[in-house]
This record gives sequence, C-alpha cells and structure tokens, in this order.
Amino acid sequence: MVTRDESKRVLKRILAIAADVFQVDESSIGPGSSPDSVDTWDSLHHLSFVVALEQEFSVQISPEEIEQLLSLELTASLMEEKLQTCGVPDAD
Amino acid sequence: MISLKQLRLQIEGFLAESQWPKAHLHLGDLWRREGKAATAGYILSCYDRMEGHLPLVKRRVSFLRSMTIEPLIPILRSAALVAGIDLTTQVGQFNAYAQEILDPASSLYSFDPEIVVLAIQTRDILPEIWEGYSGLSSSEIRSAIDRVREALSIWIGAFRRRSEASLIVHTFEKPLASAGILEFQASDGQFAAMDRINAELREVCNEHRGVYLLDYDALIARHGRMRWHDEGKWLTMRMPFAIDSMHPMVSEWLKFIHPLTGMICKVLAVDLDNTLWGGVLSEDGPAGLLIGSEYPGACYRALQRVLLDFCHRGTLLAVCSKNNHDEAMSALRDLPGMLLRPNHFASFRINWRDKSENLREIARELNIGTDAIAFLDDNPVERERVRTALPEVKVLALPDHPLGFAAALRECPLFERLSLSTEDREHTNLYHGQRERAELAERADSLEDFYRSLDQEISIASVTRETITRVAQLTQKTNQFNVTTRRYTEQQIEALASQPGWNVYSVRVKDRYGDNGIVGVFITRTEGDICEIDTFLLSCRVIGRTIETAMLGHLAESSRAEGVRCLQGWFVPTAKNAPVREFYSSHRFELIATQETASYWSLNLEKAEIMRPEWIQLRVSSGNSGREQARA
Repeated sequence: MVTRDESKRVLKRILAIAADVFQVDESSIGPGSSPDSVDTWDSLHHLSFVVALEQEFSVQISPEEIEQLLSLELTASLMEEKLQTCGVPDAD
Repeated sequence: MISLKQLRLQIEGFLAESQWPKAHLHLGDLWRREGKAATAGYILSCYDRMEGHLPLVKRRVSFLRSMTIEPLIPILRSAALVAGIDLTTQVGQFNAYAQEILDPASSLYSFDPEIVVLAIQTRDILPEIWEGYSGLSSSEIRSAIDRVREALSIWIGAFRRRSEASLIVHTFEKPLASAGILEFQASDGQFAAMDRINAELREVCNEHRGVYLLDYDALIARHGRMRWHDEGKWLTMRMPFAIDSMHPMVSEWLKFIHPLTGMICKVLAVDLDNTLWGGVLSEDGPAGLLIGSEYPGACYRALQRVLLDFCHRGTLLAVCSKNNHDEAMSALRDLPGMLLRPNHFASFRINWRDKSENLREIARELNIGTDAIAFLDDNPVERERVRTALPEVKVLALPDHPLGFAAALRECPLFERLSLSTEDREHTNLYHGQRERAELAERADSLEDFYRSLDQEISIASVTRETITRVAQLTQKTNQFNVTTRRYTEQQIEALASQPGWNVYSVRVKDRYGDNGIVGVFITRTEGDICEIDTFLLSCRVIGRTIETAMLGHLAESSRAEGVRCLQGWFVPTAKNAPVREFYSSHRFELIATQETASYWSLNLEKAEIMRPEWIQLRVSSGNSGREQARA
C-alpha cells in the first residue's frame, strides 16, 4: 500500500509538473484542476503532460490510462496505483 | 553542486531583480542538468517573462510531417532559447505535407517560415517497402523508387519556387528486415532498396539551393534502432520514437538550426593539461603526460580527433593554457601519440595570466568577436571564471570523466557547417600567412612600402554557381567590415542576382603569401543614373590593406562607363562595424540623409574620382551581369 505521506508526495509532485507543463503558477492549480479549468491544458499539452509524468515517475502510461487523466486528482490516483508495484522513486 | 530546487530559486531571484543575462546563463545550466518535458515548460515561461530583454536571434520554423512531433516542440524551443535562439514554430496538419507545399495559399506559406523541416516516414510514403517487401518483384520495387523520387522532386521544386526558406529534409528510415539474416546477403534486398531511395533523395535535394538532408536513418542507427522506437508511443500518439529519443531528435534539428541562424563558433580555444593531454606538464614533465592509443591517453587522443575534424570543417583552433610557453610548445611539437601539432592552431596564449584576458587577445589577433569563441577546459573553476568575465564566450561543459570528452564535444552544434568552401578548409593556413604578413608590416618602414611588398592582386567577378556558397556565407558571417550588415541566404543571393539592375560581385585576393580566396562581396542596384550600394563587405582577414579602395575605385569606374552619375549607399552602424564608420566619408562621399542611426552617402561621379591604389593589380572577369553567370 502507498502510505498517506507517499500519497501526498505524489500529488505534490504532480502539481509541480502540471504547473511547469501548462505554464501556470502552482498556486493557481489544485487537485480538482482539469482540462476544463486550465486554459493551456489542450490536447497538445496533454501529450507533453503524459511525457512529463512518464519521465518523473519512470512509468509507462497505456492508451487506456491516458484517457483517465481527466484531473490532477485522477492523475495522482493513477500514478499511486502504478507506483504500488515498483515503489515511489526518490525526487532528486 | 547546488540542487535543482536551489537553482530554480536562484533563477527566480535573477528574474525578480531583472538580471536577464544571469537568468539566461542559469536557465542553460538547468536545461543541461534536467532536460525534461516539465522543465521545458518552466524554461519557456521564464523566457516569456524576459521577452524583449535578451538579444536573441529570432526565427520562424515550420514542420511538415507524417508523425506526431508536438511534444518535441517545447523541448526544441527550450534547447534553442538557452543557446540564444528564439524559435516561433508552426506544425503542419498531420500527413498533409504535400497539400501544404503544393497549395500556394496554405498556412505554410502564410506563416512565411525561414526554416522548414520535412519529416516524412517511410511507412507513409513507401508502405509497400515498409510492410510488404518480401512479396515485391524487382520491377515493382523500381517503380516504387521512381514514384517517390518523382513526388519528392515535384514537392521540393514547388517549395523552392514559392519560398526562400531553408529546407531540411529527413531521409527515409530503414524498415525491420523482412528477410532476417538473409537481408544483407542480397544485393537487391530491402535495405539496398532503401539505400537507393535515400541516394535518389540526396540527388533531388542537391538540385536546389538551401535544401539540406538530415540523415534520419543514420540518427536512429547511431542511437540504436531497438532503443529508438517505442511501439506504445507510436500506437497511442503517433509519435514514432521513445521518450528517450526526443532529445537526440531535437539535437539533430539544432545542428542545422545553429548554422542557419549564424549561432556558430569560429574559434575553439582549448586548454592543454588534462584537456588536450592527460596530466599536468609542469608537474609530470613531458614523459609523464598521457596521450596515445592506450587508456587513459586514448581518451585525449579521441578528443584530439574531434578537434581535428572541426579544424578541417573550418573552425580555427587556439591554445589558451596556463603553462610555461616554451615547454608547452615543445610538448605540442614533439610529444609522441598526438594528432594535433602547432600547425593546426591559429593562435597561442600560453602563459600564467587570466584566461579571459587571453581569450580577448585571441579574438583580437584573429579579428573576431569574443562571442565567436568557444572555450574548452577540464577545470570547472576556469570555466566559471571565463563565463563570469566574458558571458558571450561559449563555455563548453565537459563531463567529469575524460572517457566522455570526445562524445560530448562531437555532438556540439556550434561547430556544424552547412557547406564547406575551399576557404574553410584552408582556414588555418590562411591565418599562418596572416601572421607572416603582420611580421612584414612590422618590418616595412612606411605603410606604402608594406602595401607594395604584399604584391596584392584582386579579382572581381559576378557571382557564379561555384562562388555563391561563399558569397552568401560572407554576408552571414562578416560583422566588422560591413556597411549594411544585410544577411543573405544562397537562395536570396540567387534571387537578387537575377533581378534587373542588381549585381552581386565576389572579390578574390592573392598576395605573395598565397591565395586568400574570396574575401569580399559587394552588391549593387542600378536604377537610372544612380547606383546604390546594397552591401559592401570585406573579411576581417584582409582589412587595412586598401583593398576596399580598389573595390570602390573599380565600382566607380565601371559605373561611370555605364552612364551612372551617382554612387550612393547606406551606412548602418552596429555594435561591431566600427571599422567602416569612416568608410564613405574617407572616400569623399557626402552625407545626404540620415534615418535613426543610419546615414545615407552619395558620391557625384561627374565631379569626384576614387584613385585606385597603384600597388594593387586588378583583374575583372567579363562584364556579364550576375544573371547570366549565376545561371551558367
């Protein structure tokens, strides 16, 4: 199981990545942020977001999973799920 | 080394304090340490905040493609920005490259790009060879090859007629071998067919100016075909490569974009100890230095091989080292196992002084700006010192271990060239001649004696197919002796030369020390009885030898013979062209207008004359206009 602490860490890192990729201030986004609420979250930035997640967490995201990334919260739970098998890699 | 988090905080600090150049340098560090997709987003945001505050070279780039490249765009733009190039990009519709090229009203042409990348996949244009090869007869293969050649020939030809942009064409990737281990045994195999297609593609590209091949198949091979691909990325987002292949792809584009934007280095200044050879000369003595075919000396020999390649590609090498001069020179001359010898270097600064001061002197000696120098040193302290003192010098990052030196340097885009003139290949020799000339100047009693002793001969000719590469290159590279600093590509020169009234001339200079090659260009436009000088430039190699007066004298005489009454031209000052500030006034032109910092000068040919220096022999090749000769 992913612990509460780890779960928080995952969400925090996703918020940081999303702020970078969508070029917005980190304080302007939260777990509920989605393509509807973030102007720059279009289909092209979505691809960059997928690439950034794969790089950050060293995971592979399948076509089915790409479609599940409908909010940062959902992204976080998908990442947690994927990390359960291999553990959370350390941030540098 | 500070953490990435601290580095970002530093950058935020510089941005808040409006310290733009510092923020720029540190963003480069951040990118080199963490070139991820997320980092790219952050870097783009930072440059948005610095908009207008940095002297970036701006270019518009268009991509015509049959693959998803969108995730590469932020990575490309970030890598270019930290290198000083601001790219505005446009990505064409998926798989609509043919329509975009053929339709004059397409978004491609309305975007008016300066650089265009054409990236077509083998699987799209040659599906029969990609997937169904084993069932094909040799005539079917031949007709597939012919079909592709014809299509490419039409597309590239149409593009060239409609746009002056430089075009970078990807070669076609080899498919997986249908015949397994038999593949390479057969001379008519699938791979052989792909080699033929790519050879034909090269022929088509070579028929046009400003069309360059990017060897996509060789790029994949260099990085490992198995590692390059990621079937998942292809099937889910139509991106035919793995995430780890994104950087190599972007780097390959940058190798073209750097020379296309003039962001290249003319001089590479190298340290000696633990850079050119292993060990420290003053401590280990020449016998203790490591260089040769065995480890660890082999690492340094591999680096020397890269430097030698750069030297042959037209980069000047210089030594900038803290050492005892005579000891270091004899090591350079006599140390066994070296590939580089003193004759490969155009300038030497071997002393115990500050390296940034030495780099300034190297720039002065070779008549270039310090921004055209790259600096290679294993010592991070020296690198940081130079970077602080001379932020415009390109300080190259070296890996910690010498095993990685050669590979890191070889991938550097600052030493790429799109074409190679004879002058480039002979570059270092030319500078040796120049050193001897400088010694002669010191000996000659009067300046006039010196001019006479040079036995100079200049040849003026309209631009031709053979000289157009060099002429365009001179307009792009000449900063100092250049009255208007107008940059032209080969395509633009060709277009100018074919317009009525316009003439493009090349100037070749020989002297008692040898042939300097083409070192001058002037471009004129004659309308009625006025001849306007659009461009007038001389390579810094031959400044101060009255060649410009001979050129201008010839222009005045030939113009007068054609009924021209006035010779006119703009002087547009830049940070670097101080050597031509007095050019028009010293030749008795009169100032007739000014516009912002630029000034417009005129010489009445009915009243004034320009005396051609008697110590220069002048040869003029036939009076054909540029048009006939350029097309010949």
